[in-house]
Amino acid sequence: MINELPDLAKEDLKYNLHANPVEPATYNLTLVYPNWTPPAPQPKLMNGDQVKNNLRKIGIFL
Amino acid sequence: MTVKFYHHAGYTPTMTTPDYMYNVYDRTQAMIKCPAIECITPIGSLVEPKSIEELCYNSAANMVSKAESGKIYVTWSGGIDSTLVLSELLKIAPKSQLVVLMDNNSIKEYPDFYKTYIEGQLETRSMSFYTDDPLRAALKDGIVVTGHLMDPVFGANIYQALPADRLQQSIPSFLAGLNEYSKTSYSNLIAACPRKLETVKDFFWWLDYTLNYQSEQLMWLLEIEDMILDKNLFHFGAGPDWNNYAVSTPTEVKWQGYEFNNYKMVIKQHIQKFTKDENYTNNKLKMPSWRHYRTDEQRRRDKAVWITTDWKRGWLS
Repeated sequence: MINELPDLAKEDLKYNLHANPVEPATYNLTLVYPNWTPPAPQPKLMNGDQVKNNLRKIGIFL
Repeated sequence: MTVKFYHHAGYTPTMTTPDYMYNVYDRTQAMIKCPAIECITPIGSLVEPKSIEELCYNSAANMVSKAESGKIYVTWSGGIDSTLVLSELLKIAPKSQLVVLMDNNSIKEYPDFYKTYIEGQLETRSMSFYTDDPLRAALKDGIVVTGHLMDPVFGANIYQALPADRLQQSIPSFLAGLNEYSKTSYSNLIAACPRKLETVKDFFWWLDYTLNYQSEQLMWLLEIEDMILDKNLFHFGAGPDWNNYAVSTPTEVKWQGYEFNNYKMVIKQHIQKFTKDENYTNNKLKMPSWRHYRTDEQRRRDKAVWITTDWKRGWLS
């Protein structure tokens, strides 16, 4: 689960296109990665209609 | 089959220095590798670029063609880029087809344009920033067009904040003052540019152009499921030709010198051919286009966490 979405108050900068741009405190690169562990792939279960359709294709009618 | 994404808030970092960028995706993959994300539009090539006139005409013509008989909803902030979009469309589309999505700030930004070309002549709708409803409604009978992507083509929003002596600093001198991580990271990115970058002004354009472009492409799509890039949402600065222009055109052409009034002068001059507004060309500064518009809670709830390459969104809950 993503622990925290980006500080949304600062998201205004994105939409406001640097409303009051200030010189960076540093020109060094700082990248902040989210604390995210992608969920493990889950098997997808078909619903009843999907199962029936697939069976019809091979000649089995329920 | 491995799912690939155009956007994933879990895989993309936020840059906090030297500039602030959300969901950074490196279109070159030279500085930040992210195999889970697919590049929507590759960076441009070093070519003889098309002229501004041709680029602008082609962008507008593409929008008109894709709209077919539907409405063309033009998001007009009053800024340089969206004024360009509306000007170009007014040249080739019937007025009855155009709808201007705007707010009071748009009028304040460029009142003369509003009075001359919009008021009483074009249908207008309020661009409410507290709800996506105006954009959702637009998709029911038309397409939405924006002036987006012209910023990364031409430069960086942070330009205004950088002093002249920094902007003209050579790249080797600039890199020498940084920590090793930054030197290596920036050097990798600089090496991926088809054109030789000479100065910090060049570099900050390249930083924005490579790392901020895809995020800007998808900005509004994160909240509106029916919005599909290049199907019902079109950005004026999109496509291979604008990207070739971006890469092939020296930064001094996009912004000559260090007076911010000269930024995007070629665009302002192109607009002037239509409006004959010399004052705009000489004095218009790029201003922030869209203002603060919604609560943190609303944005957190509405914004998709990921978008797959077949345009399916995912939310946290």
